[in-house]
This record gives sequence, C-alpha cells and structure tokens, in this order.
Amino acid sequence: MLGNKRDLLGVFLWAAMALVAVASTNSVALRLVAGVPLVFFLPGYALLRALGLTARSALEWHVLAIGMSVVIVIIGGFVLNGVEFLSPLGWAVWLTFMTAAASGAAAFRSAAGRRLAWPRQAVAGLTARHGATLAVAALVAAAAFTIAVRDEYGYRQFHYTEFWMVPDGPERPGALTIGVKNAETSASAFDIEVLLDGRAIAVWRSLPLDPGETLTEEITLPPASGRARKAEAWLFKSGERDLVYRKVSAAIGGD
Amino acid sequence: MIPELKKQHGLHTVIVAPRRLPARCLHTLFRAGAEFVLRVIGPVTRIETIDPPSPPINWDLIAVLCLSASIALMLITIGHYGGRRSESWAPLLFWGGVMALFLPMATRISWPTVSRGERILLLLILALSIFAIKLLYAPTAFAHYDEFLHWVTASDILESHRLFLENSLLPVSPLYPGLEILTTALANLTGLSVFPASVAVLAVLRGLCICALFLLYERVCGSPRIAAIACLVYMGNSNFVFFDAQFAYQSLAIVLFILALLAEAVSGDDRHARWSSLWALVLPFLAALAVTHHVSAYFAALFLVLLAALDFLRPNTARERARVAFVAASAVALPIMWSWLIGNPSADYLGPVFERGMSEVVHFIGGGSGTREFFVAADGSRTPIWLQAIGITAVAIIALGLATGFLRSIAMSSSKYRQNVRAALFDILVCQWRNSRFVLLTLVTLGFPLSIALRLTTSGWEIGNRMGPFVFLGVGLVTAVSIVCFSQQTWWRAQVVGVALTVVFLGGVVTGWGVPAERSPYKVSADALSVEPMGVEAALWSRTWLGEGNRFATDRINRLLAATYGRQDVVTSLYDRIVTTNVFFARTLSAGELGAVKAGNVDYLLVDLRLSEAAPFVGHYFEQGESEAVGAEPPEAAALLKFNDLDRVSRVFDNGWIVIFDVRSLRDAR
Repeated sequence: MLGNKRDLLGVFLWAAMALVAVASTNSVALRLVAGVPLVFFLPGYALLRALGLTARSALEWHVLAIGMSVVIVIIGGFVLNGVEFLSPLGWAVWLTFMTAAASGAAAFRSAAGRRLAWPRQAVAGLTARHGATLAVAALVAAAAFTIAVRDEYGYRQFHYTEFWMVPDGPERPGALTIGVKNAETSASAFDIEVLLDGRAIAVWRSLPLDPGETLTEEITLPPASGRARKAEAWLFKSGERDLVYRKVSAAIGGD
Repeated sequence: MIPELKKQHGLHTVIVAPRRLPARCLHTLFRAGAEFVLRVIGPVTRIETIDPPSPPINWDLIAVLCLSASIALMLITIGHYGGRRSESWAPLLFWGGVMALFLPMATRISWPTVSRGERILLLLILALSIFAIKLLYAPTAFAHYDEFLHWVTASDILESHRLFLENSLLPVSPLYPGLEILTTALANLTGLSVFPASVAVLAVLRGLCICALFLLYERVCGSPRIAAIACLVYMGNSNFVFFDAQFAYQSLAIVLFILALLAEAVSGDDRHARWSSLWALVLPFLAALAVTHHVSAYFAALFLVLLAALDFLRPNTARERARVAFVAASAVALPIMWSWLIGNPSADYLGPVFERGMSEVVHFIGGGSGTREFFVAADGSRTPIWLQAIGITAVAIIALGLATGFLRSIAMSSSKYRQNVRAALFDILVCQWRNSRFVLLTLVTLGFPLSIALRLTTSGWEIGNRMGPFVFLGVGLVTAVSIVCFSQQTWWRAQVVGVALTVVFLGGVVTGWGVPAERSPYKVSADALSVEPMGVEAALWSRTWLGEGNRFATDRINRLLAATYGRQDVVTSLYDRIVTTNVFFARTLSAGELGAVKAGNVDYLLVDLRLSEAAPFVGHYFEQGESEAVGAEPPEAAALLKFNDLDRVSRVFDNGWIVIFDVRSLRDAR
C-alpha cells in the first residue's frame, strides 16, 4: 500500500519518537538526536511531499525542506504563544502534529512530490585513505576548538577581589551581609573592618581565601531610631594595613 | 601613403593630406581602443563553454583541503591566543590562518573543470569553516553587541513561555522574534541552553544559506561554475563572516530572503505546478521573513516588486504575470501588515538613521565635509596599512569585476545568447530578455557604488553596511560572469582568480569586522573586546545578591551584561527615552542628573572606572552623540565616584574597577 511512500512512515515514526523523548526524558543527548531533525527537517520534508513539489536536484529539494521546517517552527511559535503552550511539550506536540498531518496528506495524495535521492556516484571513489585524512582534519579542528574553549575559560586579563555589603532585607533591619570573593591568581588573607559613623564596630583578621573562594559574614548594626547613619566596610590585604584595598558602605535610616 | 590617400579621397591639394593622416590614425586608434574595451567587457561566453565536461568528485583533493582548512582554524585559534596576550606574532597567525582557509578552497571551487557536486561540497565546508572563525572568537558564550540584545529576548521566551515581552536593550527585537522562536524551540526540545542552541541554529543557517545561494544562482544563470564563483564573491561582502553569523535577527533573515528568491524561482520555472503549490512554497518564506527582520523584509519587497516589473516588461504569459504580481504584492503586504499589527515600531527606529544617512550623502556629493575617515576607529586607532591595502584592493577588484561583467551579464540575460554586446544590449532595450532574475541581479549591482558612498559618511555607514548582503547578491553574479570569461583558458588565470577571490574575502573581513576580528586585550567600549570575565562576574553578583529586575543605569557594555547575566532591568535611551550619561560624567549632581535618576526610576548605578582610562573604541561610552554634550575626553575617575560623598547613597559592591551604588534613596527623595 505504501509503495514509494515508505519514507513518510519513517518521518512520522521519528517525529513520534521525538515527542515521546521530550515527554519522558531529560537526557540532552537523547533529545538532541530526536529533536534536531524534528526542528530542522522532518516537518518541511513532509510538507514538500504533500505539496507535490518536484525539484531539479536532490540538493534543491532538501534545502527547501529544511527552509520550510524553519518556517513551520516560526509559525509554531506564534500558534503556541496564542494557546499559551510555548513549552518543551508544546513544541514537541506542534512539530509532531505538523509532520504527521503533512505526511498523512502526502500519503493520501495521488501525486505526492517526488523525493529525489542523492546521486550514488557522489560518494564513488571515497576510500579508507580519504576517511583517515578527513578524520585527522576533524581531530585538528576539534583540537583548535578545545584550545579556544580552554583559553576562554582560563584567561583573565583582570585579577581582582570582589567586596560587598548589602542589607539582609526589610524583615531584618540593621542586618548586613559582608562578602569577599578572591578572583586573584593566588591565595590571599584579608582583614575586614566595619565602621559606623567613623568608629570601628567589628573586625575580622587574616581571613584566608583561595582563588575563586567566597566568604560571607553577617553583622547587625545597633539600632538608632530616625537618624541617618552610614556604615562602611574596609577590606585590607593582610600585611598591608596602610592601604584600603576595597571599600563599601551602607546608608541606613534617616527617611 | 599620402598619394594613395589623396587618390582614395579624391584630394588634389597637399594641404589637406597632413590633416587627414592623424585623423585616420586617430580613427584607427579609436577603433582599436573600442575593440579592446569591447573585448574586455564582452563578448558573451556561452554557457556550454563555461562548464566543460568535468571529472567525478576528486576525494583526494577534498580530503587535503579539509586538512588544510582545519590547520588554518588552528592558526586562527593560536592567533586569538596570542592576541589576548598582545603578542606581536598574533596578527600574522590570525590573518594568515584566514587566508590559508580561503585561498586553497576558493582556487579549487573556481577551477574550470570541477564537478558540480565537488563545488557544492567544498562551498559547504568553506562556509562552515568561516562560521568557525566567528565561533573560535567566542566559543563558550555570546560576546558580540547585537547578540546580547537578542539573548535577552530569547531568555525571556524561555523563562516566561510567552512572546512579545519588553526588551529595553532593543525594543524592536521581541516584535520580530523569528530567530528567537527557532532557537528556543531547539532549546526546549533538546534541553540545551540558549548559547549552544544558537550555535546549532546558526551553523544550520550558514549551511542552508550557501546551498540556497548556490541553487539560486544556478537557477538564474544555468551554470554551476558561475554559481559557485558567485557564492565565493558573495562571501566577500562585509557582513558575511561576522554580522550575518551572529545571534541576531538578520542572520536568519538573510537566509529566508535567499530562500524566498529561490522558492520564487522554483515556482516560476515549474510550469506544470498548481497555483496552490506555488503560493504554498513562496508565501511561507515571505511571511517568516516579515516577522523576523524589518529591513530584510523591505529589501525582499523591493527585489520582488522590481522582478515583477521586469517580468511585466518582457513578453510573458498572463499566468506568469499573475504569479509574479501575486508574489510581489505578498512581499509588500506582509511586512506592512506585520508592522501595522505590532504598532509600527521600526519607523522610529529606522527613520532617523535613514534620514541622517541620506542627508549626509547628499551633503557629501555636494562637496561638503563631515565624511568618515576610513580605517580609523573612533578612538583614533588605525587599521594596519597592509590591511588597509587589502580592503582597498578588494573594492578595486570588485569594481573591475563589475566593469567587465556588467554588460556580459546583461548580454547573457538576453533572449538569445549573443556574441555581440551591441545586439545583446539592443535585446535588453527592447525588453527581450530571457530571464528577469538575471536582469534584476545585474541591475542590483548599481547599488554597490551607493553602498560605498554611504560608507564614506558617518551616519550613512550603517545603511551602506546593511545594503551589503543584498547588493552582493548581484555583485556576486556579475563578478562571477566576469571571472569565468577571464579564466576560461589558462591555468595561471585560474590561479589568479583564486588569489583575487581571497583578497575580496579578506577585504570583506577588514571592512566589516576590521581589526577587532583578532582577539586583543580589553578595550574601552569596544563591544566584544570589552566583554571579559570581571564584568560578567559583577553582573552575576548583582543577580545573586540584589535579585533580578532592579533598575540599573550604566555604560553600554555593562548594560548588556547587567541585562543578560544579571537579568536586571536596564535604563536605556531607546526604551526609556532617558539619557543617563551626565549622571556619570558630571562632577557634581545637579537637579538635571537627579531628575534623570528619578525619571528613570533608577535603583542602582554601576560605575566602570576603566572608562576613565581611554577614549571609547566605537565613539561613545553610553549613548550615540554624547561627545557633543560631554566632550571627547574620557570622564574623570573623581566624577564617576562622586556618589561616595553622598550620605544617602550606599556603595554596595567594589571589585577595584567596577563599583555599584544603591541610589534608591536619591530616587525616592522629595
């Protein structure tokens, strides 16, 4: 019964598999294998078959199929937004539905578009030696990408220490969180000094921090109704007490 | 000679003869010159001789070319590695790698005797390798200015499961959400985050673009060789390597544009297809384009209206005329309808740019000043002289290609293949062309000088730059016609063609992306070169410790980071109509600056002290045109830190360079 329309059954089954994958698993690898063709190829393929398009070459047919899939995805965005179903499952349902509907239309159409196969002679002459060279090329490209990624993650032009002081929230008036993050190249020890109206009210000495490590401390300021006050926190690198390395402040009250 | 002349012309005095001799010589010289010129710009080479019988795919060469491309990518990576560290050898490796990537491939693709399949395969590999140049620049996260604007829209869609949320960085972006829909669809289905999903989308689009372009050219001219060379020339447009490969709406739009033209050509050539199939093929691409990018949709409308006009002028059937009229009407109606539906936001956005650009061009043509200095960035840094030479040579090669290919292309599109340019031109003048698409793409090249003129002006630069990809559709074809006529016979000419195509490609990179194409240390307000981990960390800190959605005012680079990594609600002149430049630049806070804080409902000010160290690479720190108000000098550090002295302002964050001030009390003060 299917005759030369077996490909449509395959397209439909793949779309259905993608729907099941999206609905049942969080595995990115599995969903990638199932989902990429569903976004970029299957709906357009089925639709071109349903339209009865006959192209000049296999390349033309497949290019239009991919392009049409992109269009179906964009239309789907508006449709799913309209029905408030712009979610992973919504996408899977939409694209599977479109693929199934177009495949069905093509299957029942008397003159469904002719699918042009890729010419077999295209791969004639491809030998293991070529495969080995192409594999080496792929490895070199992958190595270039890996170096670029490592450099992107690893290289920092600026080395710095983050220092902050923020109020804990309206439910805890006067409570402040003070934090330090070491983004230098080496481990350091820090001193923190908190001043209220110019007088030291808390001191932490020689707090060791490795690169990338964060430390937070909490402090509650003594209450003083109605009066505007300013708390300041100074950060020193241990052993360099004459240089304020970082400075933050918090204005409190006085409204 | 003289007596013979006299005899021929029946002259009887020797006085006339000396006058006639130079006249004859001049005539001969003129004829020789005219013949030479005609030989250069014509006659037409027949399609059959352009594509001689070719051998099957040469896998030996393909394998070697893939290997050379991968080595070139390695050179580019090492160039970036050295560029970040200011190594002197870095530019040599980077630009050498770009050249090593393109030259061997281009030489092989443009070679006279290569099979169609091999040309397509190599074009695809080359296009993806060129995309890898952009990917290697920033392989783990978005880095380019426009990418951040669209990342906000995509993140909003992913998080809220709704379209059309507001985006203060680029208010028009959520209203043209084609690219974001496609990317978030893939992210939703696969579980990928926005960046890897966008890389996958852009890679597919890049492959689709070059294949569709090849097929379009092949449909138009009938020659795979011309089509392949036209694609190579098209890669030399200044937007191909970077601008149309970044995560921004035009990257999808240019592909939909080419697909719409291809679908139109396919539907036009299929005489037996039903009407329903014809519109079902073309209309979806035009509709998708209309909701993806305003400028591209308007260019598509212009192209298709011109195509319809050309098809109406030539002898044609009523059915065919109805078809092209329907396609043109759809191309015009769809973007207008969409623009009307979403409240016509692009008029405010594009109108002033277009107006300023055109007035500067008119001023420039009239001999006025105010032109832009080529190869000099706004901070005064100059492009190296050898890169300038490549950029200028590339334009000269294209100009030569257009000069020697224009009439040939016109002649090739006549109703009969003409060996005689005059006869072919006559055919065109009496509207006897066989293929309106060929005529259209040839006429489109007239936009090339205009795009160059626009690039010479300050405001028109953007229009000239945006015209590039569309004008190059014609430039590619006409230059390719010129090239195949030049390099038909000898192998050395084919080698020269490879070199010329490489120069055109490199010229496109130089004029489009320029020196920032190579990685370098941090620069002030230099888009991708200003995006680095410290700024990103500060934005992430704001999200963690201050929460999302606070109103942040800051410079144009930290604004991007705060909106994306920090998920803050940033204050912009484009969306809020509030300029906060003076809040930062002024030495003391006056009523005007406080008014901006109140009007912008600002919660936090993020100050980047690096701004005080250098002039902005792109010409402004906060908003375009600010130098007229605040002067050309970098802001003083003391001015940036003036909030330290205000009792009611908290300094909540400090990393040595970046300081965040809590100004809610200033905002709420009566």
